[in-house]
Amino acid sequence: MERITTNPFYSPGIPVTVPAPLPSIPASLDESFPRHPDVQNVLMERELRRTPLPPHQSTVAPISGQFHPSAGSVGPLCSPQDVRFSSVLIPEQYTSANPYNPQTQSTGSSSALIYGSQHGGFEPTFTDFPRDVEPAWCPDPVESMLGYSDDVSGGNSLNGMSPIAATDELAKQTEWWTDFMNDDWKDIVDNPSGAKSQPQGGPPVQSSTSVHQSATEQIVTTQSVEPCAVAAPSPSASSNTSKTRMRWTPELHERFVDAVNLLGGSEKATPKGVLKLMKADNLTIYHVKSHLQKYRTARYRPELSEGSSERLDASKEELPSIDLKGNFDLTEALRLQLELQKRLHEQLEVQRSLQLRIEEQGKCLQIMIEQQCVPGTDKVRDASTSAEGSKLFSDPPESSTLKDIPNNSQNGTTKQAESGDNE
Amino acid sequence: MKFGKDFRNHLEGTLPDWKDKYLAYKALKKLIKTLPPDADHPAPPPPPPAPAAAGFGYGDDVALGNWFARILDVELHKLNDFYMEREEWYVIRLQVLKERIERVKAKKNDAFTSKIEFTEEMLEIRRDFVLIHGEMILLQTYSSLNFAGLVKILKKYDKRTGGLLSLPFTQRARHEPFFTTEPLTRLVRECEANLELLFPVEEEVLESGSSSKLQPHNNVSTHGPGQSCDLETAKVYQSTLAAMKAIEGLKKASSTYNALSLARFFHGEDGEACSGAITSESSLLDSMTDSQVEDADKDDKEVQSKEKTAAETKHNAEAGRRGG
Repeated sequence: MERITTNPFYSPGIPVTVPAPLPSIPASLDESFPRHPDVQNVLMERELRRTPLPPHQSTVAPISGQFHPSAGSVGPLCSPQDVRFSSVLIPEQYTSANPYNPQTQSTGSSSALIYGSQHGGFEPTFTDFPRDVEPAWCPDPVESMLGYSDDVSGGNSLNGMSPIAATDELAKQTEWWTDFMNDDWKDIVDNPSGAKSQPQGGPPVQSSTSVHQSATEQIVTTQSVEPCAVAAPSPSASSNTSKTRMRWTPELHERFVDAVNLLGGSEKATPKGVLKLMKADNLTIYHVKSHLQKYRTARYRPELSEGSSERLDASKEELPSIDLKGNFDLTEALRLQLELQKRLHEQLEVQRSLQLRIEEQGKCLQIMIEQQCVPGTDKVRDASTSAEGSKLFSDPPESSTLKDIPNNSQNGTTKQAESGDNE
Repeated sequence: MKFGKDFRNHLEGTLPDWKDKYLAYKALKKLIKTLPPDADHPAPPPPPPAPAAAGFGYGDDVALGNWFARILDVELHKLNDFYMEREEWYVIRLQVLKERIERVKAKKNDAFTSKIEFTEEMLEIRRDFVLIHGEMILLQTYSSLNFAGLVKILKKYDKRTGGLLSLPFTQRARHEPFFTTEPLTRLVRECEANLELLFPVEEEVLESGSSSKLQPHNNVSTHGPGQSCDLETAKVYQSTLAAMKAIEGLKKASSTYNALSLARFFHGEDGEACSGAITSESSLLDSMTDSQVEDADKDDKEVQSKEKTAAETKHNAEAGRRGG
């Protein structure tokens, strides 16, 4: 199964120490969010104090080289701290991998140009980020508990191949985001047994089975390497494919089953043997091992797989072995349930085709607008949100139409994305 | 904020183990609120600033965008991971179930199984198939809702910060594993094909001497769907109901907004060269006014209900036309 390989976060990471991220949020959400500049300053100071920073003076220069000739105040966050803020962030992005370098040595306006419109897509620009910077986002404490925080030193963190010295940072980020998400999830789901952020890992998640456990293993060992179909070697999964999550297709699975059967069945077969027999590229023993585990579960203990051991007892009670009418009723009930499911499936197909169509139309509109020239786009800009619209007017005059068009197309296509929301 | 509500309701009603695997929509929304608003560019736009400041304006936005994109990447990773894991599981399980049918068929032919055993076996197989069918469709719902939520978050981000993250990131997300659901759809079709065989009108299990029993009733006498077998089936049934509501919510919103924004578009805009092309595809219309309508919380229920019938008809007609 081919998969279009556009996943930046599956590309290999580059070990980079991560200093403070951009705006972080106080651990306690009880603080009402103050006005932004203050928040920015306060939080950044807090972050910066916590984190060892590279001497920011020295990093200002690279920024200028990257973004703009004159270092100075940085946009809306005009304060001394902000210089640090950009100096902190940007070297991480661009020191190790310079996505912007090939594109521009010139002004920041060109950066935006690239940002918005490069090949109508985003991939080159963002390819490097995940591997560079520790994400300041651990919204799922369960997940962190299960896997991410387990093996930080092994570099198996969220994006990392790197045994980063940012372990502390990760912990802090996790802590910050955990708190943030804790509050959030309390609101969202009032679920005492919630497989959520509450007691780390929640029993339901824990108890959910070898399936989830093997998923956990996958999470722990998963690196940000691009997964790919076995049959087609992935073009850019240059690195460590052993830690990817494999996308198992029915065909691949069939080869797996054949190999297993050749080896005498799922109990007898070993991952190593199966791997050898399958002769599949990009398939590692980790993949096979976890898949084999799932396979065994499915064959012999399917009741455990769905996370509910109650099923076993319940089904014994519920299945009326003698009562034929009961069977009929059960069958009918199942049939009705099936009908409902089919209906939902239809709705989903419609929804999906709409979503896809809108994405396509977004591209078309972008092209249309590019062909329109500047005057014609004024009306279009008016129609977009004021923030987006007014942004255009701030373009430096030198950039002229070349800049305007991609920006306009961004607006146009942003609108397309918007329309997709409501589908 | 209709989507947020629909999303939350869906989460509450869906399979418990899945709840925390969804996009952290609410949290992301909150996060966006804390971001610096697009203060550089208030509306009446200032005279074009000096190149230096403008340059940094863009540089800064880009940096912020990168940071936010990284956060979304983490979310994508979570979504992809869960999706692929579940997909793998369903591939395995479907194959195992098909094998089981073969075995039962073989047994039936060769060994003389007691009718009761056979009936039980068939019932169990049916149940398992319906279950996996339901779960696969719930996974599709997972995909659809998360994508819709992601698009919304991106839109909110752009609106808040004046950034240009929405389109490129959406284009990228479009090709992520969690949204390339074609393999899953194939599995569902395969499952349905098997189910056709499992739920024929005449069936040994229905033999009870009474022909009236072959009439499907709308109201199953002793068991309703979902109460039929066991907890597992019930959970899937309830989740399916929740999913239906959520998806219908998405659809209704778009129908309504289509109608409203169509009106606004025609009345609010002067004729413009490309607008002619746009209007032929109504879905393009939403975008301009949707965000304002929705984000301004203009949930005018009366308008919606009035418009709904007309809008849905129109929407269906357009969907038909587009699909044609």
